[in-house]
Amino acid sequence: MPIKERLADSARMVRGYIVRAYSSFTAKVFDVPPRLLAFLSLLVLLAIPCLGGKYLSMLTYACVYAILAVSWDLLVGRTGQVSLGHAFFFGMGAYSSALLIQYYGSDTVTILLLQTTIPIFLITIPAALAIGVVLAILLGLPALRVKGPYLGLLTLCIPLIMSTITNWHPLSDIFHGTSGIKVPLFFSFLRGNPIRDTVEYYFALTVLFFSAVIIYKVATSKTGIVFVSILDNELAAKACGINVTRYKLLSFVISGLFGTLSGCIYVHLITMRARPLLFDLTYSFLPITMTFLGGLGTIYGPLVGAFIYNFLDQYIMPTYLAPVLDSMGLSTYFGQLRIIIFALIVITIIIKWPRGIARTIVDKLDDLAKPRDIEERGPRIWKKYKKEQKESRLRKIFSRFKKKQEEKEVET
Amino acid sequence: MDANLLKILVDGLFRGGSYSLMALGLTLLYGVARIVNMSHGSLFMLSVYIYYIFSTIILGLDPWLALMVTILVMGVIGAIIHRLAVHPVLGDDVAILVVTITIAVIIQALVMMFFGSSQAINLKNPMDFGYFKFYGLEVSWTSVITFVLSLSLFALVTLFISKTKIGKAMQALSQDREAAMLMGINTNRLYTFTMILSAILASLAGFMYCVPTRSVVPGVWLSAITSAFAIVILGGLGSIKGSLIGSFVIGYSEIIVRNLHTEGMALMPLAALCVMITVLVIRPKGLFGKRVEMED
Repeated sequence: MPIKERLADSARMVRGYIVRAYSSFTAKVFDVPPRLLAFLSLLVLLAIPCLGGKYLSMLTYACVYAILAVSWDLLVGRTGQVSLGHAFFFGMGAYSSALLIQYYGSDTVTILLLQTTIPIFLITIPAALAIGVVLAILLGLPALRVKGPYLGLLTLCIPLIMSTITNWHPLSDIFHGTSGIKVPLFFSFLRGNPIRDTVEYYFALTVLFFSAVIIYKVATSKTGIVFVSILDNELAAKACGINVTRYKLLSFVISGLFGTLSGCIYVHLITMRARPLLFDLTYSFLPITMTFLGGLGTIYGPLVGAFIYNFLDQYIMPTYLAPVLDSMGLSTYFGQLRIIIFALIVITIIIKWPRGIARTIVDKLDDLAKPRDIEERGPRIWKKYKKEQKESRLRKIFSRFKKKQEEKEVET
Repeated sequence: MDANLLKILVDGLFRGGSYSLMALGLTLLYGVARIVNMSHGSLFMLSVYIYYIFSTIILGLDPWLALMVTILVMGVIGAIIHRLAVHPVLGDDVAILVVTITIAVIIQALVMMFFGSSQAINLKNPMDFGYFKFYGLEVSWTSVITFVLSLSLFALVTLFISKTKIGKAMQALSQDREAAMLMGINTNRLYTFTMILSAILASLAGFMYCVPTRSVVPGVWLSAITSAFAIVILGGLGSIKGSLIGSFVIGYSEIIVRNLHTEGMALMPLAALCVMITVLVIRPKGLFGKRVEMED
């Protein structure tokens, strides 16, 4: 055997060893259980106020929007019922609590049985959630008859109707037009206190944590599996004896419940006013953006997406984009440019990475963590080596075949 | 005849006429390519602004010439949108909805960036011939001319679809995609063509809808798209006859809602939305729809 071939052979062997070492290394490093990952990120989120509270309000927004995004994901990513109007639940959460408070007319309630005075939102928020469930059933019933693009259109319309009604001038005694209904804030007793931001943030984080855990439990339970089966093939699910109608309605109700919750929290924690703006297309579009940023059909996707969105929207854009625009004298364009940039990001993600950023990364990690069969899923070097081997074998066979043919020709 | 009733009748007629072209564009695109184009309303709104740019701001062109240039530009924009954004996600309903509504948001933001969020602009009107009396009711010639133009354009497009080769190919494609491909129809090119046609129809509809009132605001796209979808769903997605009838039904229902209450102007969008929801709940395929999406 000539020395050149021998050298090449040994080089291949070394390459093989490297590949094997690499894959076992990645399998060990990246094999992090998802729960540990979730726990670590929760720790990071809990520790953020200790690092300095400059951007706490941004994170509070992110937490509230994340609830909305997770509820949207449960409906669209799990059961495949396209909702383009999640702002309906968001706004109705805010409005039902605000209207109840307005109807009662006071910020505190005295419970005779306990002889204590409690803030009114402790009663109106559960009531608003109950209203949210009823509304979800009411919206879900017609929605069961249609699906796909028709359902998208139907759900798109409903917040528009609410927006028109709340804006209507003759009803301004009830809805107060564009200025909206004022509601008491959760932590108004901490006014002027420096820890208020931190308290608000921890509150939003707690609510987000429990909502996400509940939705995760639902999604991984038997019910969640039924949801996915409806997404995959409704007819097959029916054929398996699943009451598709019931489960579709159930997913609508759960999603509506958490959408309403996020609306309540949003108005009582951040904005203080239930305005017709809450039914705007922006708020229907928000969970879509976040979910597609993170990854459709996962629970962690919209969570990650909400934080990425708010980080980009409230940190990157004002600190890096705004000065550039200011220097060009175009600062009035900033608000619209922000929307355009996000819209372009969403389109790019849908076309290029339909699974979303977070899900792509997680899938990649999973792929790396698998104890792999080198010959099949190895890195490029190994594949190239195998290809070379195969080609050389083919060449040998081919040349042998050619020789035989030539011999035959000579014989004839 | 009661003057109020006459006014309702005439207004509804004109409104229906101005909706017909827009609904035609939407229903064609759905019928041929199965694309539910949420950005149709924003193309409609964008075309009015482009018309405004060419007729007033930059060149000060003759209004009819400006309309021609607008149609060309809108055709190009339609083709670009289709090739860049819609074509890669064809076949996925959720993705198409999200992508097209995202495009609508982009167009709205772009227009708001340059023209402000709520300032109404003043459009040039090439058909300004004053008013005439019709049984004691003042009717403007502009409305009459736009009505006649819309319906004749509608008829023209319908003729185009039923008589020409491309139109027949579009019909074939809407009936059976695989069979059409086997017959040697270049489906992708036809999709792009349909998108261009639909964008052109949207721009014509924008001209017919906004020039008589002489003003436009960026927010008009949302009410326009809801009305157009209400029409198309009422008539059946993909049905041309249905879209013509539906546009008059929606036009009349909007005008009736406007006259129900002194503040009824603000409730006008509700009419289309309520009709749409009722149709979706009672008869999802609409009046003349062929397919029922519920039964796969």
